[in-house]
Amino acid sequence: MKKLLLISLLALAGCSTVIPVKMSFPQVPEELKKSCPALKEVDPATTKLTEVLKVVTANYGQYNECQVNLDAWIQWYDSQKKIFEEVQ
Amino acid sequence: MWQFSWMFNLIPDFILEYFVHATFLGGVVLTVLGAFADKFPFVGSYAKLARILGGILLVVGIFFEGALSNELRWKAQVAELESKIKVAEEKSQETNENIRVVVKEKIKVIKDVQVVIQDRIIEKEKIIDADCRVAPEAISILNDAARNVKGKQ
Repeated sequence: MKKLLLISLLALAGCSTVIPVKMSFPQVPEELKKSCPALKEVDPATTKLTEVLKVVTANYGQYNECQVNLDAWIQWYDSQKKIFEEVQ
Repeated sequence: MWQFSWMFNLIPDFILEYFVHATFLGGVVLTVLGAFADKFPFVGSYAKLARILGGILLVVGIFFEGALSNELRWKAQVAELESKIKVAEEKSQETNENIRVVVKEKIKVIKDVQVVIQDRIIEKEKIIDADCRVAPEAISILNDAARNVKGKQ
């Protein structure tokens, strides 16, 4: 009976999965998690060029923000990849 | 085999080392004593028992010496990897902080420029709108481009 208990204990040890070292996935800055909004549209009823200009320049600004975010994503990926490879 | 390793993990290193070395040394001592014990009159009758027990302890001791050495090497590797991961996680945090600061600054510059541009449009509104009237077709094309649709031809 005692031997049986000991063998069972050894066999049960086989059920556990030992992962001694765990590296957590790197967190992404919250600023980069925003998706790019849709482009603004010009009021179809307007005939004023300044109204068109306002929307177009706002869209340019929107594009510039998205460009900054995309560049930051690329930089984040490259840096994290380099850090990860240093651990291996 | 790795069950032994798993069980070793539960026992503090110094107790393990003490136990394994004691088993091995006990095996060596008993084997040596067993080899010469029959030459002495009073302990001669225990020679065979000492040889058997010594042999068993020696075999078990050698096995556990190997297992312990492997275990300690493994633990050292784990400790090294853990320290590397700690450094990597710190670097990762640092990189994130740098990226966060750079993005924040760049977005602020873009928004400031936007304000200036919008102000300039308002400032020159009369001049711009004086001689120019935008056709509805132009706006339709512009909005279709913004929506990324082909629209009416």
